[in-house]
Amino acid sequence: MTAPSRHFESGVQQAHAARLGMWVFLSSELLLFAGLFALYAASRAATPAAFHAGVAHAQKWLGSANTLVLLLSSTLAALAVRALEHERRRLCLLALGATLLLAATFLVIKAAEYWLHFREGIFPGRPLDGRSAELGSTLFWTLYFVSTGLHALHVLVGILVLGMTAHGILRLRIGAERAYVLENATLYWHLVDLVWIFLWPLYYLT
Amino acid sequence: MHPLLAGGVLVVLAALSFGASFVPLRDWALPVALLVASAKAAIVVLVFMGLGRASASAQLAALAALLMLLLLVGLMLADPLTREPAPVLGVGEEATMRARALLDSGHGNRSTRRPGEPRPDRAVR
Repeated sequence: MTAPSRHFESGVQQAHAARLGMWVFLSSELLLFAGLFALYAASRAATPAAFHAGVAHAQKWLGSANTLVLLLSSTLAALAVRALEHERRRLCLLALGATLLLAATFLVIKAAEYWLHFREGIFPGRPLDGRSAELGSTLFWTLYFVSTGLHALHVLVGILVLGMTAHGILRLRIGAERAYVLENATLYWHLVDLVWIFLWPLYYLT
Repeated sequence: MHPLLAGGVLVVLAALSFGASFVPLRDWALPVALLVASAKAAIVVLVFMGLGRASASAQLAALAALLMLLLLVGLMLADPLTREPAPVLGVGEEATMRARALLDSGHGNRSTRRPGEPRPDRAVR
């Protein structure tokens, strides 16, 4: 439908460049979260008792519901790509719509979690224990808010990216021959899911 | 693997992890949780993200990120796990040895903890 951009030899090369670019970007995003995971590791090794107490106080059921939400959304996103590759635009848009709905659900559940913490007096930098808080408790809760907050920001960006791509598909600007555009958008979404796969056990389960 | 099958496996693994969190695994809780998470991650990366089908350059980029992450986390862990209690400044060797004895009496020295005992908080530098 559309010719490749002039600096590319062919559409195939353009697709390859687009995918490689996305993977390089995702690698950098992973390293962004790696810093936070590294801080968690060092802090937990230094103050394990406080971290156990923090995890015990997390909103386990809400956090686990969010895990289910993201896993399902990733599945639907993968199905959407497959549908587009097979020229089944309506199915693709249906799957994308469901993905976006689940993504929004994630943010609502996260907001509810934060609200429950704030109501108890747990804020970033100021944990439950109040003024006489142990360092470990402060470390845990600050890391919790920063990690899940940054992740929630990524979810929001993912919604925008997937939404824009869905709009492009709706407007017939993106079809099977440019499926890599949707593929890239879902790659970003899968990274968001990937990060949560590790955030969940570290802050809610163990 | 079909995405629906992969999705099903992911949900089962999540349920497994969730269930395991109610079992008092103590020292094994974290390794088990991370193992299950790694299995889920592998499915997401290989099936959903199709890294296996991707170009060699893309695979290299992803591998580089993974190696850097492991390096960063690994070395950040090595610091607190290999700490000795700091010397007490300006008070001489005797006082330092008394301080060490006090710490060794169960306040965070790994070699005096019995397996299964809860880990006490370490001195944070």
